[in-house]
Amino acid sequence: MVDDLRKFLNHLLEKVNGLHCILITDRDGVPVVRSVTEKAPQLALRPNFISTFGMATEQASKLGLGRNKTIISMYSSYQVIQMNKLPLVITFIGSDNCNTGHILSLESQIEPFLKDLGTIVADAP
Amino acid sequence: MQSNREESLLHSCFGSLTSAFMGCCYSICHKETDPQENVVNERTHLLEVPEQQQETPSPTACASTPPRKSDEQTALNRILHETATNVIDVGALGPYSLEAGAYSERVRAYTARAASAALPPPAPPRLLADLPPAVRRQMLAAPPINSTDKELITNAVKKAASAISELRVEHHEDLVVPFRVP
Repeated sequence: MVDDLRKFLNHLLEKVNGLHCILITDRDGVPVVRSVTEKAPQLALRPNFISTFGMATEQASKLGLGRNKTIISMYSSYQVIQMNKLPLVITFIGSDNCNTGHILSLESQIEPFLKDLGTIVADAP
Repeated sequence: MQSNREESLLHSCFGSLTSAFMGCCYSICHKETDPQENVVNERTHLLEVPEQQQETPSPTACASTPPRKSDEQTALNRILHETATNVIDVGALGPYSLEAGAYSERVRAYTARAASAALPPPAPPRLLADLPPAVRRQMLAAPPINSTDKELITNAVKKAASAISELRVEHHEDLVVPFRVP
């Protein structure tokens, strides 16, 4: 059930110090599963912001370095880590001093659920 | 008699010349169409040339130009498509935003599909896990480690322990030093 997955993501949020939210969305930023704390910036949760990753990862894959997997954006107050798991996109938003490597290590724990979640977004209207 | 002999000689020479000449004409004009004769001789082509080009190239040139043009067009289109795929043009993409109606429709669709989907429950994280009884029995029934290996491990651990116990700090100078500020 998606509720179990949400509880699991909440547990991951508590494990990583400074992590504010974990979003699993489709390419256009429409959320499939989300786990958010009150510290997460609301503007960064909107589809306008998350959908920019789809274009960025597609263009980044043309740089001759292979397929783009992850983009890490560091801001003065936050850091945004987005992973290319098309048709899904995983977005982590944390504080600027959050442990980036710890966030990246969460990928292997979320990976087992992506196959089933991918079928939900497969036939998007 | 002599004249008859000369005449017959002349006739035979002329005859042989005629047959040689006719043979040359025949070999030039006649085409070897027998496919079973693959004998290599002075008439064998050194390079394999397709028969269409050997016969009349000019009348067939006009008939083949339209297919060649379409092949060129296909190749050009393919090159154009590949270049468009590989070129990086961020400015051309422009701002993209999902309409509110489409967004809410998708949210509803995903929520409905997620509710009906049978997702496997996430495994709770743990360091030690119980083995199933069959695997447990198999592990316990396995033969113990070699006695030589056990001795090696024991000796190595004893040596390490004695080495660590011999570690000590040798005091040479005072740790607390007064600052002599004039």
